[in-house]
Amino acid sequence: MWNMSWMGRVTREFETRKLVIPAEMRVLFQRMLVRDVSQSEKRHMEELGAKVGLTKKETMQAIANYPHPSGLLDVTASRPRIGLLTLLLVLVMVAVAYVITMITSAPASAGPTTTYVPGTRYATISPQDFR
Amino acid sequence: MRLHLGCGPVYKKGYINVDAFDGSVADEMMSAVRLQFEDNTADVVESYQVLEHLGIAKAIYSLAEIFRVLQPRGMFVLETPDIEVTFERFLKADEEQRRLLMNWIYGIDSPGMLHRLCFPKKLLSRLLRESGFVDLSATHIDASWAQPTLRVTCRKPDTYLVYQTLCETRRNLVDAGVVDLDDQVRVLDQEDLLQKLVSATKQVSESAVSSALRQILLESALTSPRVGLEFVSLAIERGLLGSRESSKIVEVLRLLASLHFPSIMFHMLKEMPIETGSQRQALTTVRAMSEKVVEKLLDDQSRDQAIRNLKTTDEEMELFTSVDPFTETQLKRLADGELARGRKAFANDHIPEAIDIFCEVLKLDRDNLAAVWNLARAERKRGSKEQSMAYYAKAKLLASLSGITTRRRLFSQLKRETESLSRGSEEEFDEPIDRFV
Repeated sequence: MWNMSWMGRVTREFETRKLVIPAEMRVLFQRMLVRDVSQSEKRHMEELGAKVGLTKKETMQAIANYPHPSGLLDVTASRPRIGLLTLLLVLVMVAVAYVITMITSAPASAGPTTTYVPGTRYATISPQDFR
Repeated sequence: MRLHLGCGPVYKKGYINVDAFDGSVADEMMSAVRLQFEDNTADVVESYQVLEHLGIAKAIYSLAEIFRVLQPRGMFVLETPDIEVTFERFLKADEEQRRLLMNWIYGIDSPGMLHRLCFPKKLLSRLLRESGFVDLSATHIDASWAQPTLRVTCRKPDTYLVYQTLCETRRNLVDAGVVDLDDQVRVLDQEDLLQKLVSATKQVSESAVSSALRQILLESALTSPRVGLEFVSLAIERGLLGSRESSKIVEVLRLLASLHFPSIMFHMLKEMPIETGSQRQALTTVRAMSEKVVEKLLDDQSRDQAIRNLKTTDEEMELFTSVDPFTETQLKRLADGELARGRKAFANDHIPEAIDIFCEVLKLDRDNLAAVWNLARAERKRGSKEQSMAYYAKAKLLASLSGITTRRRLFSQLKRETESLSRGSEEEFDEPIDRFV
């Protein structure tokens, strides 16, 4: 049974384009994802590294792939990764739609398909073996 | 030999009674943080109602001195206000009783009688353990209802060499002016490093001396090579960290100290890209870079070039702030100082100057919400709406990283300010923000 008030709230939020992501989840997303270091930032870092005698490679190793707290939704990023978020959401929606379709059109096919070998179920002869 | 430290008006027979104040009945006058006795000479040290007069930094150094002069298995007895019980009683007490209890909490405003810090039991136990004491036993006693007291006994262990080295390191650091006992924040940062070095030294087995030395080098290089150098030199001298690599490690630490390596890396941090919310990333990067530099200094082939580079950079930065130890606390402290200057400039309508200072704050602490928020307001006051909006957006991002209750409050305040800015409202937010209420 759908909770109608909940549905109503979500609909209103969609209608007004104010989909609210719970704050904790948003922070989690932010912390999980990595913000790319731009080319100009990379060059700048290389120059800094050179001042203490580090090669470009060594400097890049020092800064590579550190989870950035402002990650995905970083308003200051040179290349915001909203595109990636959209792609992920679409993939999740497609997967969910596929499962729902399977369940509603052919419930029996929803589960994993197994190849039945007579006499192997429960390590003994089962009634199926005589059908 | 038996010592009675901080005797005040109480003379104990059979003890050398010691105090730092003229009005006492002391046999010898000396500071609790610099005892004039040889190592391993006292059977017993007793100290009643002294520790709370010292503050945390001097308390640590005083405990180290007591540990140093005690013989192995020597006993240390101390009494200090039981602050937890005192607070419990205070909450239940009437006005007159509270007055008495307040004397027990804060001491009396006359020379040497003020209490700087009373120690909760857990903190005191930790300090004693980190000073090397063992067999701790704490009991509560009531000298009177208004003077609940914590009595702790402990002793110096038979195996004491690592902590004895730590005591001597502390003494030398004070003598060399590296440690300033009046600067609690720095002392505690330096103490953190020393405890890491002690821990690395304690765990070391003979086969793993080299890796322990490397660990000590990496820990000290960025934070404070001077502290690391002092500890390692003494530990090697005492045979705690003897290995083929010892002299090389000492040499690298000496080099890093002479080149002001923490200050160089501090400069690096300031010059790194400033992205909102990236302080952790910046600090980790600086740490990783410093480790790579240290590796180069240990490698015979790359060593000379690395030294040349560091020397050039060190000379270029002659006028920059000297930072040692390099820690997050020190960065925040510097940022707070700048922030206060920025607010002053803002309040006096020196807007371009204020903006410059707030930008400097962000170089020290990229996650500083107050600086970003003040920049938003300052830009607004300068008439630069777009810049102001950009800073408000950054402020929102930083606010989102704070606790949930605070976040709601901050969001609502930021929303009010941004909406007023979008409307071009007359409502002015033209004062520096100092508290988020």
